[in-house]
Amino acid sequence: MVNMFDNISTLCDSIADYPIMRAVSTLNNEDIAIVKFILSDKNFYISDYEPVKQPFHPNFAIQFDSIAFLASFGTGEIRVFEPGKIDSCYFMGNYDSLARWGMRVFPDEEYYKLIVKKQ
Amino acid sequence: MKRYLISIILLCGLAFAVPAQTFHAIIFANTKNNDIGTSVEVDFQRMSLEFTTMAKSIGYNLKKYYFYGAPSNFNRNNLVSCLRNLDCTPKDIVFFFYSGHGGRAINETSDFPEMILAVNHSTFNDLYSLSDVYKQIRKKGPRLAIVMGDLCNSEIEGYYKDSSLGGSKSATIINKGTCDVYRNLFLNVKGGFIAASSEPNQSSSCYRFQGEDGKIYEGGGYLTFSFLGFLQDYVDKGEDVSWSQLFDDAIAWTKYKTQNRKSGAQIPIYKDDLSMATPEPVQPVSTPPQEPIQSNDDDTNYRDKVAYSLSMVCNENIDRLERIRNIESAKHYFAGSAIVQVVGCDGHTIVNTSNANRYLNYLSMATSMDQIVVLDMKQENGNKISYIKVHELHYQ
Repeated sequence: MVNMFDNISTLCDSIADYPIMRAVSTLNNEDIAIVKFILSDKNFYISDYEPVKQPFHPNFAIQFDSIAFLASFGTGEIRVFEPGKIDSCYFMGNYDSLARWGMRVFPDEEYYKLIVKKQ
Repeated sequence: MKRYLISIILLCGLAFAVPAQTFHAIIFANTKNNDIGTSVEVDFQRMSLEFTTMAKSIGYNLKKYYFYGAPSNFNRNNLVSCLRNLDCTPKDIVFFFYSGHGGRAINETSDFPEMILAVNHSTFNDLYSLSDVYKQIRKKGPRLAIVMGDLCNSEIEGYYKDSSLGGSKSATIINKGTCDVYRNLFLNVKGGFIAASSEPNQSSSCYRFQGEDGKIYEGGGYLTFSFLGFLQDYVDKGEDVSWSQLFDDAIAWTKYKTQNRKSGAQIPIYKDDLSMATPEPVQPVSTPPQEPIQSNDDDTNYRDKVAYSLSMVCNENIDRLERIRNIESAKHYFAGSAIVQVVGCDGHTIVNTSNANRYLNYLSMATSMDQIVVLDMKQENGNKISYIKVHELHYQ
């Protein structure tokens, strides 16, 4: 579990060329269960949508085993990386619940409060 | 001697006929972006075609500043130097158009977004505010400044603005009615107008539509597509329209078409700083082709040279015999088997396909044709053109 907000100079890893900070904390079981529930919903992934005119800039990355999920709230998209497969990009069907989860995990980050407030 | 005298008199006559005013057309288009490049390419081609029609219709010289394609061309430094070096007289018109990625700082005070001037891998240093472009162009003192951006206006995570950051399917038919619509838009007003494709905190999408053949086509950005669609509709009807009415139509259409979008409807915005101006003298509808003014971009210069050469074959102000003679110089640009594709205003409807020789003969015999705009081309080894996509401007 990594957070993209932190100072870029401390970056030490990347997923598919996106700079990612190494895990800053371990998620508790409840956080893991919530995010798994959100990400396991098929309706969360909308593949038929018109491209958005903002670059994909992930807010955070979540990795379960070898599958990585990168979420960008600016574009409203999520990218899924699986070894040996072409990465897929989807529009987030339930953008709000993932943003709320972000707010829960990163309580000090104003950005999540802002986007949740705007929903 | 007599012949030389006639030539000098003719040249003087031509020099006086060419108006001193310039239409500065500036385009920054991220045509090579991995996600939206195909859609931006549509915007780029359609706007560059529309700029030719606009300048022609109001009798202005067209000067192009086109920045697209490779990172060496589409970047922030080129925007800074383009704006710094922009030299215009109080009679000139400046139209700035941007299509690409965009966003806004979390602490942004302007309603208008910032452009992201990097092809694929961007940093905060690649951002440049659309409203700063507008302010800088207005400072140069042209009679009219139009700034239009088709880009997202949603917040970029982690980006707080630093105060140091700077910041129809057919051929085009030009007739008196067409020119009146353009003259009303460009010559009867002065001041400035700035528009962006979405409200603060909103994203902008690329428009895709199903053609009559059932295929899905890229329409470009929603704002650009609707702006050009409504403009061409008013022009076709010969009905005068104001900038604000034109954008109100485009806003209503964009809002309607995006109402079911997952992230909510996209609503373009604008700010109107225009006032009425004394109408400019009326120029003749059809004039001899304008010799291209040097642009910043080599490809654009080459396309303009080819377009000029083709226009010298089709323009009815040129003597018929001269037009036939001009075929030979136009032929030098083409490979023996070159294919010419003629497309409509929408940039994708194919009106005619021919080989170059046959097309040049057709141009030399054409009536009521004014000029050719080159939209795309492919060159063989040795730089000869093997494929060319053109649009024809006719007049009535």
